Amino acid sequence: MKKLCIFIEHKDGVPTSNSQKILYMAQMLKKQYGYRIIAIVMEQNSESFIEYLKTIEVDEIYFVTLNEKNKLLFLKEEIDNLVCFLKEINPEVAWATNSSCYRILFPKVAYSLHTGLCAACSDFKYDEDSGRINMVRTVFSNNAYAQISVHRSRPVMATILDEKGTYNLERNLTFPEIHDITDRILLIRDNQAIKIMKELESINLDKSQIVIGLGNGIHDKSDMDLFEKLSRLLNHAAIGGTRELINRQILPQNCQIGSTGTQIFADIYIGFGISGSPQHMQGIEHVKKIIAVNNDPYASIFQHADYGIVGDMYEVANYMINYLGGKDT
Amino acid sequence: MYIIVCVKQVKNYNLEKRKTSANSGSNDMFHNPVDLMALAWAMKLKQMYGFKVITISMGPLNAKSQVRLLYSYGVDRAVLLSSKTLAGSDTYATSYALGELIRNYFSDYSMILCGDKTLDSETGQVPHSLAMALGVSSYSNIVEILRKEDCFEVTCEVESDRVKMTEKDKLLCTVTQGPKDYVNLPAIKNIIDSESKEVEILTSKDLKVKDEVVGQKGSYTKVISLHEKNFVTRRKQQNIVFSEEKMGMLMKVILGESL
Repeated sequence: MKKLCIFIEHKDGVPTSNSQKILYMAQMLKKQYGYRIIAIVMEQNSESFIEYLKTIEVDEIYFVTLNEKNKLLFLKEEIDNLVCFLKEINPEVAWATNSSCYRILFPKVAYSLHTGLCAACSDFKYDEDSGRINMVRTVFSNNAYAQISVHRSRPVMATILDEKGTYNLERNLTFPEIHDITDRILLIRDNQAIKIMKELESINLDKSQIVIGLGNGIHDKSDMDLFEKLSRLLNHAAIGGTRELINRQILPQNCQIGSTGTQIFADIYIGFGISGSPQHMQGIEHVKKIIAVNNDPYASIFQHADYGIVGDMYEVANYMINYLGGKDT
Repeated sequence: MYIIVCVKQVKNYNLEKRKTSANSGSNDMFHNPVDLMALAWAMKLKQMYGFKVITISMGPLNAKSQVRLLYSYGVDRAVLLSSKTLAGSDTYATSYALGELIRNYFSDYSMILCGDKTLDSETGQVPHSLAMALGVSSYSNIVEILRKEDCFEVTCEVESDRVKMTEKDKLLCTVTQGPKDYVNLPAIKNIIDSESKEVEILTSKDLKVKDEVVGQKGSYTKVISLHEKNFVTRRKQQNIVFSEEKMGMLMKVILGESL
């Protein structure tokens, strides 16, 4: 029987939406083509998540209990151990979430296994003639879809893009086998070499209901005060921006919205001074209502916005602040 | 003691679309912006600790004039790995070729710096695969690099944590932004000097590997179909030109239900 390894994650015992999507795709492969689903969980405090996994349709569960420092960085020897483990399992397909952990881990594992890896895939296609799984992802700055084949090696490896959808997962019919492989994968570490410092301010771009997006139209870092004030008046809307603003060090890295940053799923997105590059648009395509403010009436963001306001972004922001009851700045 | 920086020359696809003739030259290419930020880190380390800086690029021969421009940023050696047999490399074959180049010619490096991903493919796989090819550790999202008693002390951001590591061995770091309080602009003198400097060209033969293991033949993935993506056009009404009266009405529509 063909095997499918899925590397999934949880938050407080509940699968992340990215993991739910992978479980859903895996169950489709099982149902239609008879794949055996092997779930691999490498996390801290996974007990309740494993209990949850027992209730849905997976065939085997392998788990690695990480501590805080393992989670952040895998040592080279630990990656070698993981590669040995995967060689033994010998799966046809291996998928992982598109989290920062697997975006680093999977290229290393794929290189060691001498196989192909497709990054940030949105879907798969089953090739009936060859019986192979091909992966689908966007290319050329989000302007086209490509179907990619891993044609001469196994497993077909891919990281799967999060789409924040809702998935009805099949309940399990048989009790899955559960294996603890922590000792097999992890080394006892000299923890002196790694120090964890204060937590960064966490920014919930992907969970906020209202997001303010800033583009290159912003003049200076000090102008952020204006938009922070607007954010407070909009129920503490999250503030994000384009890659240019990260490069100009006006916003920190974790505020980047777009194909190389965070995908947002807000109810309302207000884009100030954003031209609308395909990379940025990919980040906001799941937003329910897009409002664009730009002084260029031909800015391409207007084609994809629900409401377009042609005007100076500062004037519009000041107007909104006044309207919402704040004083003009 | 030197630092290697990987700099990719990416193609300007929009420019290509607009062109009618096939005279595409190096003007169609530019340095991947985040790779230049990796270069800024290297130049800062050069200034602080006296490292030499070598850039390596892999691409067609017409990228040569772009690669030469890297001298204007103050790099000591600029190398271009170019060969027809390397064309069509996927991330695996690219990492393998760069790994062999470094192993054969630049194995005494202290650190390799890369941008986290390129504008054209955005996979972000090559740096970590390259680290695997060379058997070194790799760290992402670097915010600080210091040299202390023959060790590198690197600080990186991982999810919501900031982590400081001390690394005795060689290492590879990827960056998403340049060093704070340091800007690496081309200097006039370096721009003039760069014109007389030569880019070192190496080919796949110099890698001392068989043709079957590099380029398209050495790749494990291939694109089997491409189709254009159609964006959802949401437009329901004309843009409004900003005025207080119009905005008042719009604000109610936009925010009325949400607040």
